[in-house]
Amino acid sequence: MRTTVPVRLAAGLAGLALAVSACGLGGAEQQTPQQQSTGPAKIVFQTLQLKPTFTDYIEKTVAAFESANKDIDVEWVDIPFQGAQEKLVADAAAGKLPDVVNLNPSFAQPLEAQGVFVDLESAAADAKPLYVPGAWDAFKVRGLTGSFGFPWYLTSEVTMYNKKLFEQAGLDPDKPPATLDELYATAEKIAEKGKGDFYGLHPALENRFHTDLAKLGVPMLDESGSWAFNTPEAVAHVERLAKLYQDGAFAKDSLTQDHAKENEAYQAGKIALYPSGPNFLTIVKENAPDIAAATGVGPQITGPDGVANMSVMGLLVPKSSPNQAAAIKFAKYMTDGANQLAFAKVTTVLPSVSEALKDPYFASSDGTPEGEARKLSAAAMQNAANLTPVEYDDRVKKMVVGKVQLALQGELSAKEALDQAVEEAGQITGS
Amino acid sequence: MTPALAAARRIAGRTVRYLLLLVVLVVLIGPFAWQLSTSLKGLGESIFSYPPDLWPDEPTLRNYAKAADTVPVWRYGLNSLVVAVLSAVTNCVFGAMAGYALARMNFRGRKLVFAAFLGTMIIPFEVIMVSVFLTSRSLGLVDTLLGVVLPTAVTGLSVLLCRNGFLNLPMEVEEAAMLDGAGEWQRFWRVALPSVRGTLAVVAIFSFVFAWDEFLWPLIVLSTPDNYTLTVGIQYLSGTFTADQRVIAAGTMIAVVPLLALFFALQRFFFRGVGEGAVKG
Repeated sequence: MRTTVPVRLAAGLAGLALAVSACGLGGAEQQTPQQQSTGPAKIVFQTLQLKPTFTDYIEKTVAAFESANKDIDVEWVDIPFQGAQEKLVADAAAGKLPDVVNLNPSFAQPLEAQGVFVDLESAAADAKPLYVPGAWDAFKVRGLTGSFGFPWYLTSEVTMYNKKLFEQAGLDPDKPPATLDELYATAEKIAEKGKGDFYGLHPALENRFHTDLAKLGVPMLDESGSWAFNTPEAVAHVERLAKLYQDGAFAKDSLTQDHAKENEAYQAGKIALYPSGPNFLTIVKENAPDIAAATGVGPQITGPDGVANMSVMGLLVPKSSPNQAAAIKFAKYMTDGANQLAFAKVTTVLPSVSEALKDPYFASSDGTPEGEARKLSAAAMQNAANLTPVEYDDRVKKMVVGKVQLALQGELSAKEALDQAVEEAGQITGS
Repeated sequence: MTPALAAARRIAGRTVRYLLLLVVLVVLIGPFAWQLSTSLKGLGESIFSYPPDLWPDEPTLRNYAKAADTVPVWRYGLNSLVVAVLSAVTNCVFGAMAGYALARMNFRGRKLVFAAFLGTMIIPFEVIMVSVFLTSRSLGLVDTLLGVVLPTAVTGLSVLLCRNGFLNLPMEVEEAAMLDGAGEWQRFWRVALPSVRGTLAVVAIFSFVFAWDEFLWPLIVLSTPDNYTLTVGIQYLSGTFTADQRVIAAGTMIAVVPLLALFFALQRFFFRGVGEGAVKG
């Protein structure tokens, strides 16, 4: 089932392209009722899986907006993350997308490329300088001018580590690794002491391979948009991973496991280092109280140039919205400094507004792992970018990870694996 | 061979057989038992401990209460029940009709029709998703439970199962009914249909389970959260920044229990032979 979903989704998107271009089912119908009604303009605001944890925050913010703008009526809908992309494709084809949609760059990209969303560099030109540049750029599409989303909340990685296992391996529990080199050296030492009972690290290729390459100065695509991640630096990186795997620094069965399994392994005390979003601190605390008590937090693992990775969420306004102006106004309000700061105080997210990031709230740590994580990740944001190119979709990722797995097992040399991956990636995306 | 040795061998053989059965039991039941025990664990207990600890040390129903508190489980369950029952009924009724026509009636293009039914089974849903959605919209069924049922109201699988069920009935019974003056409808309704109860139970269970488990289509066609089915609704238990496995497991148990109940209620039909009741001896 898993393997074919991206392919099928691509077929669905092709169907959408037909529906949008050929019959224009949605667009034409929707434009008529524009500005006819004299009552308040009604806009639908759709978020990705924020209910029920953030119901209070969202409802409060929406209510504040409504009382300041009596002529706009906001209806909030929340959909589950899983299946969201399929739902969007169907909604877009039917021309019934919500007026303000919450998406991440990879969900948004296929629809952005088809011109579904309003270009905010022309529609809201004054907003651009407010946001962290890396976040604003995340909603750009190669080959198109403009940017299509207001950056909303950011999340970034920190390095969680198990102090008990550090001590057992004879390492200083107050000194987590900070660079990729240190990370691998630490992982080797821990695995040596663990003797199969515990390991240092989980390869989690599907989660980190592309960002680690970017941190080593190897972008997945070159300036012209062709895949080019088979440089000597990348080969050296894969060779390093292969050596770690063959020397037993990673558990044998971890090779094909994804981030969810990495999460379980950390909660089971099977791995000592867990680079992931600070929100996983909460999850570890809920599911494995004893591991949470031993958990320390270090900064995000970076490469030589210190660039950190971040994930961006954004709010987009489709062109089909009959109340575009109201929708843009609301999206801007949701993502402004004050409201994002309030959101960041509710949970472990960071604001994408530069001014809000400078708030004293992020400057100091209260000593808890969460406080430490907040301080460390906020500090990394000014020099952060979204290191996952939108072209690196599920199909490409699956293939690339498969090749790297073969290289780790020694079935292919690192060079062969990367050369083949680059070639096949070109065939998949046609670039 | 001495009798003692033979007895020893018999016991050894039996032991091996039961051990194998036990292994299969553990493999099949294990994940389910893990979910069940997780759903009963208290806040202080680790979930992903290794090796897994199946016995909850502080058993509690808190997680079920929390699941029911977070999402309107009853409302979603009722929606799911409506969808699944409707789907089971339509699949049995229309699947049997189509199956009977394909098995017993001679008409031009019969093979072609049958091939078309089979063909629908291999088309992945994502490919036709957009057009099905547009069709539902034109019919005004978006955001209704009827819209959820429609695409799977009669599946190729149901037609295929029913056709095979009818083909397995001895022709003689219906010929006898024909001599007694039964028309086509009477032969279908009075003679053939009661003889394929086993098949109908299989069709009912399959369509009920498929409809109950369906996730993507209900999510697409429904837009008001009040109309969500249980599989879509329990997604709300795992938030973006939190995931209490215990509550998720409790939600999963709530979603699975009706299926188990249905299966155990119908299992005697499920395993019954298809050619029952007609020409015996």
